Amino acid sequence: MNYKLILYYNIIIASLLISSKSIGQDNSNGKLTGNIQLDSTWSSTIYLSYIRDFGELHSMSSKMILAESKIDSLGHFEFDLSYLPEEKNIFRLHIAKKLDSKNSIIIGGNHENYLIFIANRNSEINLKTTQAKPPFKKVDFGTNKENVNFQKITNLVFKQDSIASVSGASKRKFIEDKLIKNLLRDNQLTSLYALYKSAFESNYSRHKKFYKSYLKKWSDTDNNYFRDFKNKLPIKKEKKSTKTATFFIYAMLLLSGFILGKVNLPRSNRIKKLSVQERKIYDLLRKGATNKEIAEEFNIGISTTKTHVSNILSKLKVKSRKDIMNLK
Amino acid sequence: MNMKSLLLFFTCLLSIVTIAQNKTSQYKDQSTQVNLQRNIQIKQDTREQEITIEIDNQTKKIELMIHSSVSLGQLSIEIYDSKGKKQGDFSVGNQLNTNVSEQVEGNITKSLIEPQEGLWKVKIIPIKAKGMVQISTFTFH
Repeated sequence: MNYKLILYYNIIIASLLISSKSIGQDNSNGKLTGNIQLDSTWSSTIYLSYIRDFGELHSMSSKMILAESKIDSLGHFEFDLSYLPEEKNIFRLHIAKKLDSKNSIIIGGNHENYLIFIANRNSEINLKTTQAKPPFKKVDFGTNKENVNFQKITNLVFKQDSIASVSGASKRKFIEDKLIKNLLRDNQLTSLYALYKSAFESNYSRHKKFYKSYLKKWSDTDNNYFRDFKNKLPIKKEKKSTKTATFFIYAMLLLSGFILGKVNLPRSNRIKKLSVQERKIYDLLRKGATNKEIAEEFNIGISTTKTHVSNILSKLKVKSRKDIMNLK
Repeated sequence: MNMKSLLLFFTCLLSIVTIAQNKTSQYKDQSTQVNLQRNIQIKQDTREQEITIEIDNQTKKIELMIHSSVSLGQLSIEIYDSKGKKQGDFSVGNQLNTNVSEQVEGNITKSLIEPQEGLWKVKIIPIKAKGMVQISTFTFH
Protein backbone atom coordinates (compact mmCIF):
# COMPACT_ATOMS: atom_id res chain seq x y z
CA MET A 1 0.00 0.00 0.00
CA ASN A 2 2.82 2.34 0.98
CA TYR A 3 4.74 1.41 -2.20
CA LYS A 4 1.67 2.25 -4.24
CA LEU A 5 1.40 5.66 -2.57
CA ILE A 6 5.09 6.37 -3.18
CA LEU A 7 4.68 5.33 -6.82
CA TYR A 8 1.67 7.66 -7.30
CA TYR A 9 3.57 10.46 -5.59
CA ASN A 10 6.57 9.93 -7.88
CA ILE A 11 4.36 9.91 -10.96
CA ILE A 12 2.69 13.20 -9.92
CA ILE A 13 6.05 14.89 -9.19
CA ALA A 14 7.52 13.65 -12.47
CA SER A 15 4.56 14.90 -14.51
CA LEU A 16 4.66 18.28 -12.73
CA LEU A 17 8.37 18.57 -13.45
CA ILE A 18 7.85 17.74 -17.12
CA SER A 19 4.96 20.20 -17.49
CA SER A 20 6.78 23.01 -15.65
CA LYS A 21 9.82 22.44 -17.85
CA SER A 22 7.72 22.64 -20.99
CA ILE A 23 6.03 25.83 -19.74
CA GLY A 24 9.29 27.49 -18.77
CA GLN A 25 11.12 26.38 -21.88
CA ASP A 26 10.98 28.67 -24.90
CA ASN A 27 10.59 26.40 -27.89
CA SER A 28 11.37 29.11 -30.41
CA ASN A 29 14.71 28.69 -32.08
CA GLY A 30 14.57 31.29 -34.83
CA LYS A 31 17.89 32.13 -36.36
CA LEU A 32 19.18 34.02 -39.36
CA THR A 33 22.55 33.09 -40.76
CA GLY A 34 24.01 34.62 -43.86
CA ASN A 35 26.95 35.02 -46.11
CA ILE A 36 27.61 38.25 -47.91
CA GLN A 37 30.18 39.41 -50.48
CA LEU A 38 31.46 42.89 -49.66
CA ASP A 39 34.25 45.07 -50.97
CA SER A 40 36.50 47.14 -48.71
CA THR A 41 34.28 50.27 -48.86
CA TRP A 42 31.69 48.68 -46.54
CA SER A 43 32.00 48.46 -42.77
CA SER A 44 31.90 44.98 -41.25
CA THR A 45 28.68 45.37 -39.26
CA ILE A 46 25.22 44.35 -40.43
CA TYR A 47 22.00 45.68 -38.86
CA LEU A 48 18.58 44.11 -38.39
CA SER A 49 15.61 46.50 -38.37
CA TYR A 50 11.90 46.03 -37.80
CA ILE A 51 9.61 47.39 -40.51
CA ARG A 52 6.39 48.26 -38.69
CA ASP A 53 4.40 49.03 -41.85
CA PHE A 54 5.07 49.28 -45.58
CA GLY A 55 5.44 53.04 -45.30
CA GLU A 56 8.69 52.32 -43.45
CA LEU A 57 10.25 50.24 -46.23
CA HIS A 58 12.30 53.25 -47.31
CA SER A 59 12.64 54.90 -43.90
CA MET A 60 15.69 55.03 -41.72
CA SER A 61 16.09 55.93 -38.09
CA SER A 62 18.05 54.43 -35.22
CA LYS A 63 14.86 53.44 -33.38
CA MET A 64 14.10 50.90 -36.14
CA ILE A 65 17.30 48.93 -35.50
CA LEU A 66 16.77 45.81 -33.37
CA ALA A 67 20.22 44.22 -33.42
CA GLU A 68 23.61 44.29 -35.06
CA SER A 69 26.07 41.57 -35.96
CA LYS A 70 29.70 41.48 -37.02
CA ILE A 71 30.49 40.19 -40.49
CA ASP A 72 33.60 38.00 -40.28
CA SER A 73 36.41 37.91 -42.84
CA LEU A 74 34.57 35.19 -44.80
CA GLY A 75 31.40 37.30 -44.99
CA HIS A 76 29.51 35.23 -42.41
CA PHE A 77 27.01 36.79 -39.99
CA GLU A 78 24.30 35.58 -37.62
CA PHE A 79 21.20 36.92 -35.81
CA ASP A 80 19.10 35.34 -33.08
CA LEU A 81 15.40 35.60 -33.99
CA SER A 82 13.94 33.72 -31.01
CA TYR A 83 12.77 36.92 -29.30
CA LEU A 84 10.62 37.99 -32.26
CA PRO A 85 6.81 37.72 -32.06
CA GLU A 86 4.91 34.62 -33.12
CA GLU A 87 3.28 36.46 -36.03
CA LYS A 88 5.16 36.94 -39.24
CA ASN A 89 6.57 40.45 -39.64
CA ILE A 90 8.76 42.29 -42.08
CA PHE A 91 12.41 43.01 -41.33
CA ARG A 92 15.32 44.68 -43.06
CA LEU A 93 19.01 43.92 -43.13
CA HIS A 94 21.30 46.78 -44.00
CA ILE A 95 24.98 47.58 -44.12
CA ALA A 96 26.71 50.96 -44.13
CA LYS A 97 29.63 52.46 -46.01
CA LYS A 98 32.73 52.98 -43.86
CA LEU A 99 32.41 56.75 -44.07
CA ASP A 100 28.64 56.85 -43.53
CA SER A 101 26.54 56.80 -40.39
CA LYS A 102 25.23 53.37 -39.38
CA ASN A 103 21.75 54.84 -39.87
CA SER A 104 21.97 55.15 -43.62
CA ILE A 105 19.78 53.83 -46.38
CA ILE A 106 20.84 53.74 -50.01
CA ILE A 107 18.07 53.09 -52.51
CA GLY A 108 18.94 52.11 -56.08
CA GLY A 109 22.24 52.07 -57.93
CA ASN A 110 25.29 49.92 -57.32
CA HIS A 111 25.43 50.74 -53.63
CA GLU A 112 21.89 49.77 -52.60
CA ASN A 113 22.48 48.57 -49.05
CA TYR A 114 19.40 46.73 -47.79
CA LEU A 115 17.36 43.55 -48.04
CA ILE A 116 13.73 43.08 -46.99
CA PHE A 117 12.49 39.72 -45.71
CA ILE A 118 9.77 37.99 -43.64
CA ALA A 119 10.46 36.29 -40.31
CA ASN A 120 9.05 35.28 -36.95
CA ARG A 121 10.51 33.69 -33.81
CA ASN A 122 10.60 30.24 -35.43
CA SER A 123 12.16 31.23 -38.74
CA GLU A 124 15.35 29.48 -39.67
CA ILE A 125 16.75 31.51 -42.52
CA ASN A 126 20.01 30.87 -44.28
CA LEU A 127 20.80 33.35 -47.01
CA LYS A 128 23.70 33.83 -49.35
CA THR A 129 24.43 36.74 -51.64
CA THR A 130 25.95 35.91 -54.98
CA GLN A 131 26.83 39.36 -56.28
CA ALA A 132 28.93 42.12 -54.74
CA LYS A 133 27.45 45.14 -56.55
CA PRO A 134 24.88 45.92 -55.26
CA PRO A 135 25.44 43.60 -52.28
CA PHE A 136 21.83 42.42 -51.96
CA LYS A 137 20.90 42.31 -55.65
CA LYS A 138 21.10 38.50 -55.93
CA VAL A 139 20.17 36.66 -52.75
CA ASP A 140 19.69 32.93 -52.44
CA PHE A 141 17.25 32.02 -49.64
CA GLY A 142 17.64 28.26 -50.20
CA THR A 143 14.48 26.39 -49.22
CA ASN A 144 12.77 29.28 -47.42
CA LYS A 145 9.87 29.52 -49.89
CA GLU A 146 8.18 32.68 -48.62
CA ASN A 147 11.40 34.67 -48.78
CA VAL A 148 12.22 33.21 -52.19
CA ASN A 149 8.85 34.63 -53.34
CA PHE A 150 9.56 37.92 -51.59
CA GLN A 151 12.83 38.16 -53.46
CA LYS A 152 11.10 37.34 -56.76
CA ILE A 153 8.88 40.38 -56.29
CA THR A 154 11.89 42.61 -55.58
CA ASN A 155 13.55 41.35 -58.76
CA LEU A 156 10.38 41.81 -60.81
CA VAL A 157 10.11 45.41 -59.62
CA PHE A 158 13.76 46.00 -60.46
CA LYS A 159 13.06 44.80 -64.01
CA GLN A 160 10.02 47.09 -64.19
CA ASP A 161 12.06 50.06 -63.01
CA SER A 162 14.66 49.53 -65.68
CA ILE A 163 12.16 49.52 -68.54
CA ALA A 164 12.03 52.70 -70.59
CA SER A 165 9.00 54.62 -69.37
CA VAL A 166 7.77 55.66 -72.82
CA SER A 167 8.74 52.95 -75.32
CA GLY A 168 8.28 50.14 -72.79
CA ALA A 169 4.82 51.20 -71.61
CA SER A 170 3.11 48.00 -72.77
CA LYS A 171 5.88 45.83 -71.30
CA ARG A 172 5.53 47.72 -68.01
CA LYS A 173 1.77 47.15 -68.03
CA PHE A 174 2.30 43.45 -68.70
CA ILE A 175 4.60 43.14 -65.68
CA GLU A 176 2.21 45.13 -63.49
CA ASP A 177 -0.67 42.85 -64.54
CA LYS A 178 1.46 39.76 -63.90
CA LEU A 179 2.22 41.11 -60.41
CA ILE A 180 -1.45 41.70 -59.71
CA LYS A 181 -2.63 38.33 -61.12
CA ASN A 182 -0.18 36.30 -59.07
CA LEU A 183 -1.08 38.00 -55.83
CA LEU A 184 -4.21 36.20 -54.71
CA ARG A 185 -2.36 32.88 -54.61
CA ASP A 186 0.33 34.05 -52.23
CA ASN A 187 0.42 34.63 -48.49
CA GLN A 188 -0.75 37.97 -47.16
CA LEU A 189 2.58 39.66 -46.41
CA THR A 190 4.09 38.68 -49.75
CA SER A 191 1.02 39.81 -51.65
CA LEU A 192 0.86 43.10 -49.72
CA TYR A 193 4.55 43.68 -50.47
CA ALA A 194 3.84 43.13 -54.16
CA LEU A 195 0.92 45.55 -54.02
CA TYR A 196 3.10 48.24 -52.46
CA LYS A 197 5.77 47.66 -55.04
CA SER A 198 3.22 47.92 -57.87
CA ALA A 199 2.19 51.41 -56.64
CA PHE A 200 -1.36 50.34 -55.81
CA GLU A 201 -2.51 53.88 -55.07
CA SER A 202 -2.09 54.90 -58.69
CA ASN A 203 -3.36 51.73 -60.38
CA TYR A 204 -6.39 51.26 -58.12
CA SER A 205 -8.86 52.59 -60.69
CA ARG A 206 -7.64 50.03 -63.26
CA HIS A 207 -8.04 47.06 -60.92
CA LYS A 208 -10.99 48.07 -58.68
CA LYS A 209 -12.52 44.58 -58.83
CA PHE A 210 -9.27 42.96 -57.77
CA TYR A 211 -8.84 45.24 -54.75
CA LYS A 212 -12.38 44.56 -53.57
CA SER A 213 -11.88 40.79 -53.79
CA TYR A 214 -8.47 41.14 -52.11
CA LEU A 215 -9.95 43.03 -49.15
CA LYS A 216 -12.70 40.41 -48.88
CA LYS A 217 -10.21 37.52 -48.98
CA TRP A 218 -8.19 38.88 -46.05
CA SER A 219 -11.07 40.49 -44.13
CA ASP A 220 -10.51 38.16 -41.14
CA THR A 221 -6.88 39.13 -40.65
CA ASP A 222 -5.66 42.12 -38.71
CA ASN A 223 -2.10 43.38 -38.61
CA ASN A 224 -0.22 46.68 -39.04
CA TYR A 225 0.57 46.01 -42.68
CA PHE A 226 -2.99 45.23 -43.73
CA ARG A 227 -4.44 48.09 -41.67
CA ASP A 228 -2.01 50.55 -43.27
CA PHE A 229 -2.89 49.20 -46.72
CA LYS A 230 -6.63 49.56 -46.09
CA ASN A 231 -6.13 53.13 -44.88
CA LYS A 232 -4.19 54.08 -47.99
CA LEU A 233 -6.54 52.45 -50.44
CA PRO A 234 -8.62 55.08 -52.30
CA ILE A 235 -11.70 52.82 -51.88
CA LYS A 236 -12.02 54.09 -48.34
CA LYS A 237 -11.52 57.68 -49.40
CA GLU A 238 -14.32 57.27 -51.95
CA LYS A 239 -16.67 56.09 -49.19
CA LYS A 240 -15.43 58.87 -46.93
CA SER A 241 -16.02 61.55 -49.54
CA THR A 242 -19.59 60.28 -50.11
CA LYS A 243 -20.17 60.41 -46.34
CA THR A 244 -18.66 63.90 -46.17
CA ALA A 245 -20.91 65.10 -48.99
CA THR A 246 -24.03 63.65 -47.28
CA PHE A 247 -23.03 65.24 -43.99
CA PHE A 248 -22.38 68.57 -45.70
CA ILE A 249 -25.83 68.56 -47.37
CA TYR A 250 -27.49 67.64 -44.06
CA ALA A 251 -25.58 70.39 -42.23
CA MET A 252 -26.54 72.95 -44.88
CA LEU A 253 -30.23 71.99 -44.65
CA LEU A 254 -30.11 72.22 -40.86
CA LEU A 255 -28.36 75.58 -40.96
CA SER A 256 -30.88 77.01 -43.39
CA GLY A 257 -33.65 75.66 -41.13
CA PHE A 258 -32.13 77.50 -38.18
CA ILE A 259 -31.80 80.69 -40.20
CA LEU A 260 -35.44 80.51 -41.18
CA GLY A 261 -36.29 79.78 -37.53
CA LYS A 262 -38.20 76.68 -38.49
CA VAL A 263 -35.90 74.02 -37.09
CA ASN A 264 -34.96 73.40 -33.48
CA LEU A 265 -32.78 70.62 -32.15
CA PRO A 266 -35.22 67.90 -31.14
CA ARG A 267 -35.97 68.04 -27.43
CA SER A 268 -35.81 64.24 -27.13
CA ASN A 269 -32.12 64.33 -28.18
CA ARG A 270 -31.26 66.69 -25.35
CA ILE A 271 -33.33 64.80 -22.78
CA LYS A 272 -31.38 61.63 -23.62
CA LYS A 273 -28.40 63.22 -21.90
CA LEU A 274 -30.25 63.23 -18.53
CA SER A 275 -29.99 60.43 -16.00
CA VAL A 276 -33.12 58.49 -14.88
CA GLN A 277 -33.45 60.57 -11.69
CA GLU A 278 -32.85 63.82 -13.60
CA ARG A 279 -35.56 62.89 -16.10
CA LYS A 280 -38.07 62.45 -13.27
CA ILE A 281 -37.08 65.81 -11.80
CA TYR A 282 -37.22 67.33 -15.29
CA ASP A 283 -40.87 66.19 -15.64
CA LEU A 284 -41.72 67.96 -12.39
CA LEU A 285 -39.81 71.08 -13.44
CA ARG A 286 -41.87 71.17 -16.65
CA LYS A 287 -44.97 71.26 -14.42
CA GLY A 288 -43.52 74.22 -12.48
CA ALA A 289 -42.63 72.35 -9.27
CA THR A 290 -40.47 74.16 -6.67
CA ASN A 291 -37.27 72.72 -5.12
CA LYS A 292 -39.15 71.95 -1.91
CA GLU A 293 -41.88 70.08 -3.79
CA ILE A 294 -39.28 68.06 -5.76
CA ALA A 295 -37.35 67.23 -2.54
CA GLU A 296 -40.51 65.99 -0.88
CA GLU A 297 -41.59 64.00 -3.94
CA PHE A 298 -38.32 62.08 -4.17
CA ASN A 299 -37.52 62.11 -0.47
CA ILE A 300 -34.19 63.89 -0.99
CA GLY A 301 -32.57 66.97 0.56
CA ILE A 302 -33.00 70.53 -0.78
CA SER A 303 -29.26 70.81 -1.57
CA THR A 304 -29.37 67.51 -3.57
CA THR A 305 -32.40 68.83 -5.45
CA LYS A 306 -30.54 72.07 -6.26
CA THR A 307 -27.58 70.07 -7.59
CA HIS A 308 -29.91 67.98 -9.81
CA VAL A 309 -31.65 71.10 -11.12
CA SER A 310 -28.34 72.78 -11.87
CA ASN A 311 -27.13 69.65 -13.75
CA ILE A 312 -30.36 69.53 -15.75
CA LEU A 313 -30.02 73.20 -16.72
CA SER A 314 -26.45 72.72 -17.89
CA LYS A 315 -27.17 69.47 -19.79
CA LEU A 316 -30.14 71.06 -21.57
CA LYS A 317 -28.08 74.21 -22.18
CA VAL A 318 -30.81 76.49 -20.80
CA LYS A 319 -30.49 79.30 -18.27
CA SER A 320 -33.60 79.04 -16.10
CA ARG A 321 -36.54 76.89 -15.03
CA LYS A 322 -38.72 79.05 -17.24
CA ASP A 323 -36.64 77.98 -20.27
CA ILE A 324 -37.30 74.34 -19.33
CA MET A 325 -41.03 74.99 -19.31
CA ASN A 326 -40.75 76.71 -22.69
CA LEU A 327 -38.81 73.88 -24.32
CA LYS A 328 -40.66 72.51 -27.35
CA MET B 1 50.43 35.56 -103.80
CA ASN B 2 52.26 37.16 -100.93
CA MET B 3 51.46 40.59 -102.24
CA LYS B 4 47.79 39.59 -102.48
CA SER B 5 47.71 38.43 -98.83
CA LEU B 6 49.41 41.59 -97.71
CA LEU B 7 46.86 43.71 -99.59
CA LEU B 8 43.99 41.72 -98.04
CA PHE B 9 45.49 42.15 -94.60
CA PHE B 10 45.81 45.94 -94.94
CA THR B 11 42.26 46.20 -96.33
CA CYS B 12 40.92 44.35 -93.31
CA LEU B 13 42.99 46.47 -90.93
CA LEU B 14 41.77 49.67 -92.58
CA SER B 15 38.14 48.52 -92.35
CA ILE B 16 38.49 47.71 -88.63
CA VAL B 17 40.03 51.11 -87.90
CA THR B 18 37.25 52.89 -89.83
CA ILE B 19 34.50 50.98 -88.00
CA ALA B 20 36.13 51.68 -84.63
CA GLN B 21 36.40 55.39 -85.44
CA ASN B 22 32.73 55.50 -86.38
CA LYS B 23 31.79 53.82 -83.12
CA THR B 24 33.85 56.35 -81.14
CA SER B 25 32.18 59.27 -82.89
CA GLN B 26 28.77 57.69 -82.16
CA TYR B 27 29.55 57.71 -78.39
CA LYS B 28 30.82 61.28 -78.72
CA ASP B 29 27.44 62.27 -80.18
CA GLN B 30 25.66 61.04 -77.03
CA SER B 31 26.42 63.98 -74.81
CA THR B 32 26.38 63.85 -71.05
CA GLN B 33 25.32 66.96 -69.31
CA VAL B 34 25.01 67.81 -65.64
CA ASN B 35 21.98 70.05 -65.70
CA LEU B 36 21.22 70.32 -62.02
CA GLN B 37 23.25 70.21 -58.88
CA ARG B 38 21.69 71.80 -55.87
CA ASN B 39 22.60 71.86 -52.21
CA ILE B 40 19.84 72.75 -49.78
CA GLN B 41 20.54 73.45 -46.13
CA ILE B 42 17.66 72.82 -43.73
CA LYS B 43 17.83 74.61 -40.39
CA GLN B 44 15.14 73.26 -38.04
CA ASP B 45 12.63 73.82 -40.78
CA THR B 46 9.14 72.50 -41.44
CA ARG B 47 8.49 74.26 -44.77
CA GLU B 48 7.96 72.01 -47.77
CA GLN B 49 10.13 72.74 -50.79
CA GLU B 50 9.80 71.63 -54.40
CA ILE B 51 12.57 71.27 -56.96
CA THR B 52 11.55 70.86 -60.61
CA ILE B 53 13.56 69.02 -63.23
CA GLU B 54 12.73 69.64 -66.86
CA ILE B 55 12.99 66.63 -69.17
CA ASP B 56 12.71 67.17 -72.93
CA ASN B 57 11.81 64.66 -75.63
CA GLN B 58 15.49 64.30 -76.65
CA THR B 59 16.45 62.79 -73.28
CA LYS B 60 17.55 59.19 -73.71
CA LYS B 61 18.36 58.59 -70.06
CA ILE B 62 18.48 60.49 -66.81
CA GLU B 63 20.22 59.65 -63.59
CA LEU B 64 18.80 61.32 -60.54
CA MET B 65 20.79 61.17 -57.34
CA ILE B 66 19.59 62.55 -54.03
CA HIS B 67 21.70 62.50 -50.93
CA SER B 68 20.30 63.67 -47.61
CA SER B 69 21.49 63.83 -44.07
CA VAL B 70 19.72 64.99 -40.91
CA SER B 71 20.97 65.43 -37.37
CA LEU B 72 17.63 66.52 -35.87
CA GLY B 73 13.98 66.01 -36.82
CA GLN B 74 12.63 64.15 -39.79
CA LEU B 75 12.93 64.55 -43.53
CA SER B 76 11.02 62.93 -46.39
CA ILE B 77 11.90 63.07 -50.06
CA GLU B 78 9.41 62.22 -52.79
CA ILE B 79 10.02 62.02 -56.54
CA TYR B 80 7.14 62.54 -58.98
CA ASP B 81 7.16 62.16 -62.76
CA SER B 82 5.56 64.71 -65.08
CA LYS B 83 2.20 62.90 -64.80
CA GLY B 84 2.24 63.20 -61.03
CA LYS B 85 2.97 59.49 -60.39
CA LYS B 86 5.28 58.86 -57.47
CA GLN B 87 8.50 57.32 -58.76
CA GLY B 88 10.37 56.99 -55.50
CA ASP B 89 10.56 58.15 -51.92
CA PHE B 90 12.41 57.75 -48.67
CA SER B 91 12.48 59.29 -45.23
CA VAL B 92 15.12 59.69 -42.60
CA GLY B 93 14.94 61.02 -39.09
CA ASN B 94 15.34 61.04 -35.37
CA GLN B 95 12.65 60.92 -32.74
CA LEU B 96 11.06 64.36 -32.55
CA ASN B 97 10.69 64.54 -28.79
CA THR B 98 14.38 64.08 -28.03
CA ASN B 99 17.19 66.55 -28.35
CA VAL B 100 19.74 63.84 -29.02
CA SER B 101 21.59 64.66 -32.20
CA GLU B 102 22.29 61.60 -34.33
CA GLN B 103 23.31 61.56 -37.96
CA VAL B 104 20.84 59.72 -40.22
CA GLU B 105 21.46 59.46 -43.95
CA GLY B 106 19.28 58.62 -46.92
CA ASN B 107 20.29 58.29 -50.55
CA ILE B 108 18.35 57.42 -53.65
CA THR B 109 19.58 56.81 -57.17
CA LYS B 110 17.10 56.56 -60.01
CA SER B 111 18.30 55.62 -63.44
CA LEU B 112 15.51 56.24 -65.93
CA ILE B 113 15.67 55.21 -69.57
CA GLU B 114 13.60 57.38 -71.92
CA PRO B 115 11.89 59.17 -69.03
CA GLN B 116 8.46 60.76 -69.28
CA GLU B 117 8.81 64.16 -70.92
CA GLY B 118 7.84 67.23 -68.89
CA LEU B 119 8.42 68.63 -65.43
CA TRP B 120 9.50 66.14 -62.80
CA LYS B 121 9.32 67.18 -59.16
CA VAL B 122 11.37 66.44 -56.09
CA LYS B 123 9.45 67.29 -52.92
CA ILE B 124 11.47 67.96 -49.78
CA ILE B 125 9.29 67.63 -46.67
CA PRO B 126 11.08 68.42 -43.39
CA ILE B 127 9.57 68.20 -39.89
CA LYS B 128 11.65 70.30 -37.50
CA ALA B 129 14.64 69.00 -39.42
CA LYS B 130 18.23 70.16 -39.36
CA GLY B 131 20.38 68.84 -42.17
CA MET B 132 21.06 69.01 -45.88
CA VAL B 133 19.82 67.70 -49.23
CA GLN B 134 21.96 67.41 -52.33
CA ILE B 135 20.27 66.78 -55.69
CA SER B 136 22.20 65.92 -58.85
CA THR B 137 20.93 64.93 -62.27
CA PHE B 138 22.90 63.60 -65.20
CA THR B 139 21.12 63.75 -68.53
CA PHE B 140 22.10 61.70 -71.58
CA HIS B 141 20.87 62.98 -74.96
